[in-house]
Amino acid sequence: MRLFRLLFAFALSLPMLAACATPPPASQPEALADYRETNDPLEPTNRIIYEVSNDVADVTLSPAARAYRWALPEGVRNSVSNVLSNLGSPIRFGNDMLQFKSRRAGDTLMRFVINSTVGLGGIFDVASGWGYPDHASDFGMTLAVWGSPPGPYLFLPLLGPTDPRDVAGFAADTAANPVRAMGSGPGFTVFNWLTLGTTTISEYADNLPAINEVKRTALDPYATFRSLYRQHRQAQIAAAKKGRPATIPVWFSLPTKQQSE
Amino acid sequence: MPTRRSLFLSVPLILVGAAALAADEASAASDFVRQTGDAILNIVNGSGTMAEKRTQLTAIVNNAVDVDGIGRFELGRFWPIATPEQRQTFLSLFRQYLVFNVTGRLGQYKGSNFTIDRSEPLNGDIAVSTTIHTPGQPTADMQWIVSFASGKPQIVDLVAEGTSMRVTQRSDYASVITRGGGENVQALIDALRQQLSRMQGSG
Repeated sequence: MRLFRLLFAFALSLPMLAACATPPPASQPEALADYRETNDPLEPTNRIIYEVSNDVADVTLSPAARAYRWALPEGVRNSVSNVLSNLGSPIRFGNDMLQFKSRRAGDTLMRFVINSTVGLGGIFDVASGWGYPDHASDFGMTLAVWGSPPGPYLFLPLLGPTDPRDVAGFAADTAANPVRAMGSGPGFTVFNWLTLGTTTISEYADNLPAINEVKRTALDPYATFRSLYRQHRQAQIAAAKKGRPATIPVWFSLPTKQQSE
Repeated sequence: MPTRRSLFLSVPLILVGAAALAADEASAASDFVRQTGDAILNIVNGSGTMAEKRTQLTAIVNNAVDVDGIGRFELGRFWPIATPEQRQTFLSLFRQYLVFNVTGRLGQYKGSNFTIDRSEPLNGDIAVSTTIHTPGQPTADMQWIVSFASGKPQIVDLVAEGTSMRVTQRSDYASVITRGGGENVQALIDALRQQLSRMQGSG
């Protein structure tokens, strides 16, 4: 088990790797502002973890994701991610509520009800077409909506690009998994591991083209992934803060439209 | 008190005027994106050799995209410290990179079509939201940021899922420059040159 030995050696060497970047001197205000905005004081350590994670992914996740993409047509892969996304609906609903975004919570609830029934257990995303669009919602976003700052950038094994706020969010969402609350026993354990494994491979496979594109075109993929992660999260959080403004229902505005024509 | 009244009246008038101007620009920007998108897809799906298509696409990039403006933005705080020669070399390499990146995707968008969803002001520019449909691929949402700063509409950025192309690339370039040791733009120029020869070699 070369991989486990590698991971073990890596875990042992972590304290030694915890090197810090040196901030630029105060005589260079622009460089200092840049350093603060990048907010990556652990960059030397993060870069090492990034390199090792890439090497590990090259022999584990990447071949698995490529095999997954090769074996299953796009329609089936979409169904798999639809089912997994549907399973995550209760957590998303809880977070929408904690963010005090009732319309987004309503969207999530309607999506869960419609896709679990008409969408045959979540295989088909019928709800999107019916006016209940999907959105991201997790406890990291909830903390952001409550006013928590992201903290310094981190690149962690398994989690990839993240920050302390999202690590806390990930831990809370995992602990709140409703399947856990339903009971314990071998059946639930197998189900949880299967879901985790499928989610990991399915998400990686969905993102594989984009990941390869960044690695192919970026001069410094580490810095590019850092920027992409930050912007993506900021956009998701901005969308959560904005909520979903109340609109006039289609059925209400239709008659007036017909009269004016 | 005519002056005060005219002042009082002119504020809402200016506001209405500004709003009308923004609405004009918003519809002009969405027309511009429609025309540019149609022109690109006509070339991609049209007959003609690969070389002909590349030449035609290059002309569109040079015309519809504010390549120098994007390049300057991406060099960011290093633009003032770059020598005039470095600026010129960088902009020329950046143009080659951008053209190569666009023309290298010719096959990727075969059979695509797109719809324009909305067009709205964003930080002084206009953001035109589109949905791109490509056979056998998931639909992609893309925002085209159109600027009227030069007098005519020009594309200054592409935003997908909240991530801006020029902001991302600026971080990439800044990292190359600062890691090159002592904030030297030459490190970026060398890296860009290497990347271009690699891209041209493989494509």
